[in-house]
Parts: sequence; C-alpha cells; structure tokens
Amino acid sequence: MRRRIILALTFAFAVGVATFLLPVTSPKVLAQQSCKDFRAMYHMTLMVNINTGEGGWNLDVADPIVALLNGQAVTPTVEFLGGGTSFATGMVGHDRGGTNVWHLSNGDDFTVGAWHAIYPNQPANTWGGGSAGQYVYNGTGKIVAGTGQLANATGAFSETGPYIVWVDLASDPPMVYGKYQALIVASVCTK
Amino acid sequence: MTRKAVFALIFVLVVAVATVFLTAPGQHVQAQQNCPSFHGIIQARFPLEPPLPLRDGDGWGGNIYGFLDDEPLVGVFSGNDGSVSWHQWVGMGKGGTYKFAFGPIADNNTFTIIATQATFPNPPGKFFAGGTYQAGWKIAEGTGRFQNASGNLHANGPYLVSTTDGWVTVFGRWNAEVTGSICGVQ
Repeated sequence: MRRRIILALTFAFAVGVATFLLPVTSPKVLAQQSCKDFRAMYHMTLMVNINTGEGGWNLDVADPIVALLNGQAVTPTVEFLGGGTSFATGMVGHDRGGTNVWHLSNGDDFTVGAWHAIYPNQPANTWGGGSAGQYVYNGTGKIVAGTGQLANATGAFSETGPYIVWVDLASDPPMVYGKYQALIVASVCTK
Repeated sequence: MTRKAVFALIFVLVVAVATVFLTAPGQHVQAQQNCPSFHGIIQARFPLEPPLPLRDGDGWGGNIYGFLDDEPLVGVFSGNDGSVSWHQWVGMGKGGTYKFAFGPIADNNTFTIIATQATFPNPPGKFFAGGTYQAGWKIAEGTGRFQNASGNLHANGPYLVSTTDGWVTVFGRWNAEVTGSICGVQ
C-alpha cells in the first residue's frame, strides 16, 4: 500500500514538474524558429490524345514560376517526385501523398510531403482533370525537409487555383486541353 | 357612389391593359437579347512579347481560356489600369481598358472592356509587391463575332510584381478568374 502511495506521489510530482517546465521551454523553441513567407504562381497545361490516352498535365516550361521568399524574388523550379495516389469519393477527387521538391535560388531547397488535394470529380473523368468545364484545385501539405539555408525546414504549404478543361474533337488527333494556374502560399520555418 | 365605382373600374381596366402591353415588349426584348454566360481564366504578365500587346501603351497581357456557355474560347489580351491612385494600401484604377482577341488574331474577333471599378489591395507584409486585383468590366465595343457585344464581367485574382536585379528589370504575373455574361455574340 505504501509503495502505491509513493508511486502515486512520484507520478504526481513528475506531472507537476513537466507541467512547469514545458511551458517554459516551448516559447524558447518557438523563439529559435524563424519562418519565411513563400508565395509563388505557376501554370500547367493539359494535353491528352483522346485516341491513345497519352499525355497529361505538365508545367508550362516557357512560362517560368515566379515567387517571393520573404518579399525577395526567387526563381524556383519544382520537381514532382510522385509516389502519391489519386482516387475519388463520389463527386470529389483526391490526390494524396507524393513528394514535391522546390528548388529555390542558391541551392536552398525545401520538400513538401503529406499532400492532400481535392477537386471536383466529374463524370468521364478520364483525362486527369475532369470533363470539359472550369473547376478549382485545392491542396495542402507539410514542409518536411530542406537543404542549404532551409536545412531541416518545416512548415505549412497550400496550393489553390482554377483550372479549365476543353475538348477539341475537330483536331487530328482529337485532343483534350487544359490550363491550370496555381497560387502557392507557404510558411518555411527553420531553426 | 356610382361615380366612384366607375372610376375604380376604369383604373383596374387601365392597370390590366398596361400590364399586358408592358410585359409583352419586355419579354420580347429579353428574347432578342441572347446573353450566354462566360467564365474563364486569364494568365497575365509583363513585360510582354510579340504578338502582344494588342494596342500601343498596354502594359499587362497574356492568355485567356474560357467558355461562352459550352463553347470553348481561347485568346489573348492586353490592357492597362488607366490612372492609378493609392489609398493607404489599396490601389484604384480609373479608366482602365483591356482588349481581347479570340482565335487567330487576324480573324479580328475582339471585344474591349472598360474597368468600371478596379481595386488592387496590397497588404503590407503579405507581398513585396502584390495582392489581389478585382474589377467590374463592362464590354464597350467589339469586332467580328463580338461586333454587337455588350455585357458585364467580373475579374478577380492574385498578382505579383517583383524584380531579381534591384528593380532594373521588373516583371509581373496576374492570374484571375473571369465570370459574367456576353450579349449579342454572333
């Protein structure tokens, strides 16, 4: 019985110390963390051959990404490493998982994971973007790694933008075309 | 009392006749005025490269992809914000115009809008130079398929202006959605 009381008192003491110490140390950790505001805009184009089904969404190479890191212009490139899955629940399409690496100027990179995006899942959704019409893509992720000045980066990452898909049956071969314009808003935090 | 009843009956008769005649021409006008909905996205930038701008003096321009009802419309455009004034962190443009050309430029299927109320807030700390541009656009004139076009559009989307060499070379990007209706398209 006495041993139980001692254990209970020890536990209570440990909880008390933890309760006291955690609030004291947390602000210190937060104070050490520096977060930079990242904004970017990029465009993608959809081209799919209806006869073969070949094609998909690709970054507009001739239309470079524009971005600001804490208000300073950077000229990033983005690398879609894949690894995610796409599925639908009713009328909602989902992109889940996958990794993107954003290469900023001077070798400073950050990696986005834990991706989850939703968009309207239209009938005849066979062209990677739905049937003809105008829709909105919304995605969020977490910054899970970084290099250079962004080593061990963490933070939140969101992407949203409208996209439009149209069908040209008169062309040879018949094609599906699309355009997407993304706005990225992220907070890139380093210690 | 009889005179009052007669006046009342005449009044009711006049109202009934007016209702019949006023409603019919109104419906006729609406039937003649074919105003399909328009929705699309535009991707604007500066500086511009040929074939843009469409007019001398236009700073912004780019591509437009949209639907007029179910018909896909793809084109280019250029324009300007008119006279710009700043009120705290909100820019306002007066007299801005944008010209749109759909299909091959040589086909001359164009319309020009006047920005009736353009605002572009630039919240401090959010962007080095940027925010969201939104405006009401009134179709003022047209050519080709849009020769008799009229209607109102609304444009809204984020923009970003920056430099990589200390403001020697400035570049901008504006992505927006455009919605509304366009009447009188052939």
